[in-house]
Amino acid sequence: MTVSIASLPPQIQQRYNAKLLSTPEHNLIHQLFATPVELPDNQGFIDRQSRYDRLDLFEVPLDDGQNNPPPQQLNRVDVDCRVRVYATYIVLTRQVTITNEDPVLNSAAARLGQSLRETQDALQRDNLEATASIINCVGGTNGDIPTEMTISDVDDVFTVLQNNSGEYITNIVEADLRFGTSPIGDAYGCMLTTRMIPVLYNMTGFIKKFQYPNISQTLSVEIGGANNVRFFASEQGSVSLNASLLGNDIANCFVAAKEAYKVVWQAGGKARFIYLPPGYNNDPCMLRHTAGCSFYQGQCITNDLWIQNLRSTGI
Amino acid sequence: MLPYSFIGKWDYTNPATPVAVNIPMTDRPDYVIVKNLTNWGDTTAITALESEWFSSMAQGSYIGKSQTITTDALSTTTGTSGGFTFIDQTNPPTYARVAITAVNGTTFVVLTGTTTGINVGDFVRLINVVGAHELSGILFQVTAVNAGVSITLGMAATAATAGWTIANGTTGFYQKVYPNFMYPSLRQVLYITQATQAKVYFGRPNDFTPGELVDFQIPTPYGMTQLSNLTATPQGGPTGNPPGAARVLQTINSATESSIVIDYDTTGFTAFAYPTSANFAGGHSPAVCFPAGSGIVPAGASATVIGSSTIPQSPPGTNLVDAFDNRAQYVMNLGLNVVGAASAHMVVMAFKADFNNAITNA
Repeated sequence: MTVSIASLPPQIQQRYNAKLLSTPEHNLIHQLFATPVELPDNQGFIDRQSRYDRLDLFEVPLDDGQNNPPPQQLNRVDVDCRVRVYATYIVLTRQVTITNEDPVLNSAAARLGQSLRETQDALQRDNLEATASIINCVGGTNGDIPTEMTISDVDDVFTVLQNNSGEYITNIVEADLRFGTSPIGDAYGCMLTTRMIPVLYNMTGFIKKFQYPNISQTLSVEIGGANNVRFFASEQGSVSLNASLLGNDIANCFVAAKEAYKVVWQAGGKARFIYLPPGYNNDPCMLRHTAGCSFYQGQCITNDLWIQNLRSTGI
Repeated sequence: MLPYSFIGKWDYTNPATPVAVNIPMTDRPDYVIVKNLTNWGDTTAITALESEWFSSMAQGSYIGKSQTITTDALSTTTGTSGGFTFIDQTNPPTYARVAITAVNGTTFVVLTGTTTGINVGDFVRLINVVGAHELSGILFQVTAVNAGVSITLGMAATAATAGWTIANGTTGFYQKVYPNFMYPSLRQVLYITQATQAKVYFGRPNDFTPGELVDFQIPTPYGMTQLSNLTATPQGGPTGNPPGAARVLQTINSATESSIVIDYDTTGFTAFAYPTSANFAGGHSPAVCFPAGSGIVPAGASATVIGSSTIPQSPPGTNLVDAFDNRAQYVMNLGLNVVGAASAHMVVMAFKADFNNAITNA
């Protein structure tokens, strides 16, 4: 037989490189500004938190008769959040794990962990999408409603949050003597889709993260800032398909003040990896492994005034 | 391991004119069967006596059996539409937009040549309605379908009867949409009455409950801006209303009306009115109502009775049904080709494969 490259057996032609390729992982942004709350075990599945409303000012002085003024009524608002259980799993046959050179179960664990964290993030995204008050961008020029985001829209949502007494998420990034940098004001946090990056980069007044005077207090998911809002982007950011006046996709950009929304975890139900070797689950011949994960989570807004959905097209 | 696990069994009885049925399921099915129990074995010519779907089949498709003649003989059928459509509400299917030719601003009959796949109960979004741009982007529930002619948005028509003023629209589009599943969720406001207990109308069923607190964002062009950001309102303000967000005293979700009554006096407020088409197209935000917290359940509240604004339910009603929640489900939509015969008692059973080791290259 003539020996040539074409006649070499497949095992000789190929080497299995044990170094695995990277799996795309989404940026996790929607829990960044959530207040974490732990629900103790054996105390139900709905977490209730309360807020006492502001009292009126009392600027009228007492008269000379020194009569008691009328009393005020203390008002309380309750916010309830139900915790749900989430779980998924993978089945792998024993045949796969004992014949495969690659440690498949290790990869299964890694992918389950990624899926779990991305699910937690998506749940919070969906919560914000369902409940956050809406402000349309109107400062742009693309002829749609909402328009593409502009600096005036950023200032509008900033004003709304300021009018509503929302507290900043981050403190000022002070100016420094470095070329091409610009200070960032006290800021609210904006969570949006990565599809918004071109809109942001075209926005007058937008400062890219690398133009910050100091990037020591930034996250890798941060894109930049504009006046008093800093932007954090994810591939799984919220988009409403075909929802604009002209039928274009809308980016739901959630701008949050401090303590605007929360995530609730059950004390005994935190993220967990569950491996069961062959022999479990009615598997008398020990043919199958299972690898699973589960978590308990609830999410809700805690003050409707402090979370705004600034909607933009142009993506 | 058994090849299939039983997910569940459901029953329903078709009306005189069958409509599509949504079956909520706790799991993703691999096999679904629907049987007509009323006509099984009789001598009536019946279509869709039994229909089946396997997860390897396309969305909307089906295989089935019909009684084609009056001697009980069965014949097999198959189809690619009007059958079984599986919907994961967290990742629902998307649909193409469909052209419309007119929107009546009073009856909310939307003229269109294509109603394929649209059923009563579906949600549609109107897009770029010329002459009524202010309707664009709002989600409505379909309350009637005239096949190939029109769809009716009955909840919008009810709001129009109450005072919502919208110009007639001409061309544009509608698009079928599955809305977000988180609960309770924001609704776009169609109309708010000026009354001692204001009534708020929506275009699709709302999921607010008596006792729940709701807040509003009413942009300036809509009037009634006094209802905006109530959560920040201290007591004894200029309106004389209770402090904080408004409390729901009644919730109505009928076939053609979605509304809530709130404990807020709006008689002295600016009248609520949508901006004109041209004004809206000039750039505005929508008027919205959104959940703001849990309140005391009012005494006597029902779909026909407005609850008391001062007397709580006794024993004291602690409202738990308004807790923020994830209500996503798996749903199997039974289309008109499998839903069964008129007035028939139907049974649905669903199963899932326990073991489906489809790992690729492992």
